[in-house]
Amino acid sequence: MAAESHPGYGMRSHRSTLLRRLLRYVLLVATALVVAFPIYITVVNALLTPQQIAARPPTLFPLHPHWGAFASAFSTGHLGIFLRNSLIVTVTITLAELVTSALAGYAFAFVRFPFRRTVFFLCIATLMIPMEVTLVPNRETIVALGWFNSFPALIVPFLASGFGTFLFRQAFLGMPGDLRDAAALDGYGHWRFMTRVVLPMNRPVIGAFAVFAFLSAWNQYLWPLVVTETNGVRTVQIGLRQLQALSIDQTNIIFAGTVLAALPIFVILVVFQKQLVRGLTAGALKG
Amino acid sequence: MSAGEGGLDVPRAAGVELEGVTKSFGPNLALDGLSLDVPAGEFLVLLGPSGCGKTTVLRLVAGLEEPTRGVVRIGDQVMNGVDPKERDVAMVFQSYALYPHLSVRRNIEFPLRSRHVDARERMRLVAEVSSALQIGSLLDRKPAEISGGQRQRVALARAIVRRPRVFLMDEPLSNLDAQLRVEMRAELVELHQRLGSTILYVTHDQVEAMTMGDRIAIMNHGVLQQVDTPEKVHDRPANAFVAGFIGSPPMNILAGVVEPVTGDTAPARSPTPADRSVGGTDAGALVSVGMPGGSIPLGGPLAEAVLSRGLASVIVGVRPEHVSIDPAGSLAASVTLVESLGHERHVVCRLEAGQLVVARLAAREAVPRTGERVSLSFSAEHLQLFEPDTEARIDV
Repeated sequence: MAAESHPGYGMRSHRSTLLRRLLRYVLLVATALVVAFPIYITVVNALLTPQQIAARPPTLFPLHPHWGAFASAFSTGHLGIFLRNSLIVTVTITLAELVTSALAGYAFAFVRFPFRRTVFFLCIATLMIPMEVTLVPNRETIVALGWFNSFPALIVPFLASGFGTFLFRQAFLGMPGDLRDAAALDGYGHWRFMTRVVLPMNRPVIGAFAVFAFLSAWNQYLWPLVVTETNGVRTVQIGLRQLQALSIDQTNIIFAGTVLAALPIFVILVVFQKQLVRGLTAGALKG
Repeated sequence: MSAGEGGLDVPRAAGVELEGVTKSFGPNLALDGLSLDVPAGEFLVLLGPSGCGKTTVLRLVAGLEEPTRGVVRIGDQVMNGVDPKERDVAMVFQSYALYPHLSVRRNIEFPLRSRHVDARERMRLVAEVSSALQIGSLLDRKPAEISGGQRQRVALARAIVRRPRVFLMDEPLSNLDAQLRVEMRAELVELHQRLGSTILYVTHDQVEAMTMGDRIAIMNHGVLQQVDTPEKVHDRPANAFVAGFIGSPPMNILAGVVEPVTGDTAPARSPTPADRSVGGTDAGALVSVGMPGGSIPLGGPLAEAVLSRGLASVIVGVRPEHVSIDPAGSLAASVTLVESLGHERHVVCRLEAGQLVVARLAAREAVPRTGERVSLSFSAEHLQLFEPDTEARIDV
């Protein structure tokens, strides 16, 4: 109605929202470029020869890509074994952390037991200790257990997660309290209430944590380095480091190895992107 | 909805009995020695201000809490220590407590699945209960996609579908808008008549309590004040708390000092029809109750009861409909507010010491203006007196 009686005003306001939107997209595109450029240049360099990489000005568009670096990364760098090891370790850790965090988070949220608050406090206190502090004693423990240079050394210390427990507990506590009572009256004990109500209702948070757990496990470097010594059990981040040492003059292979090592994470992010965003913003949106 | 249709009306109601039940949460006493007997098939309303322990009663019957002391029985079986799911009771929550990730159908089926009812029987039961509650067309929607009133019906359907021995309802209508609440009130009463089940219904809304309950249990500070029919609770409140809680607007409660009447303080007058009210005339008065702004003469059995108990002071209760603005009245007051409800008016008057007295007048009656000085008189036969210490009603 206002636009009809004052056509000029309506048009002007329309134009200003358009301008604002344009500005917003320009800003977003600029940010995206800044974030995406290093990734792009890594992929490009993997497709160039070492001479092309060293040349200035740099090549931004490989017109004649060389795919051989990827094969070399597998043959010279044994990347296949490292990737396999990383997958075994990461998938096991992710699944284990999901199960233990869900169970512990549920217990802290819904089960009454003595010293619940104290135990929970201890649990989140682990978040405040940097991994570097416990590195040496943990390594001693692993050696004492006879697990040095084995998969258990890479996996067992990460079967539970203080962060996951905390995240799930908070999410579960955010559920309406009447639901537990309703389920109890409907004949559902703790186990079935958890599997039929709590977990399905918290899918976004669980998905987000799964991605987070996968990323952290996949990107581990220091711990695998100190508890392993042979390529049979070493993970891909150490493999990359070795690749770098092996092919100092063949930078394209290093770039190709980096691309290969990042590929699983890329796939996970694409697949779970929606879940991740929903999980991270769930609290904010619910209000 | 006749009683014969469908299969909903299988009578399997059970009575509920609480015997000396005390419940404390740490240092807080939520219930103090509550004894309550609810016969099978009764619609009992638990009424009281928030925090009075009425919801705790439901949770104790449901098994969501265990009593600190005392016994809870359902259908003559002691329920202490029995798991909620073994008690065969259903609860309707104020928040409805629907499972947001499940469709309406799955929500209603939820209690059946836990009892391993087979798929065909589940279909039949859901169809039956959803048609009775007129939610048959919503079965495939999620709770977020239906209105508050519809969610309320789904919550009811979930309770009804398993035919519990006892229904527990915790302020089920309080999240609905006023008009829907009136509709659902009538539907719940009808449903109760149809199912013949025992219902324990918690509310803080006395209109709900008066219109729905076979009996009303009024609670305050974890103590049961009175259990009786709506009429009895209204007409013969057990104590000043009940008197002041029931009624809209509630009963006026005034503290007064008992003063014996000597012969010469009563001015001689010929009896008139107005003698049936006190505050105006005091022929035959044995005592008078002094309060700020004047005194009201008491005669007959009320006065005798006061004298025989030797009370020096007394609490006077009078319902707003029994207060009249009367030039011959003996209580001086000033009008502070006149509320018009269309069919009636509430005149809020202030006595000299600041106590408020509400008079309820028909819309056609002449109403004083705000700030005007008036005299009040109380209808003698409707006066209620309460002991000053215990606040218990003085029976005559």
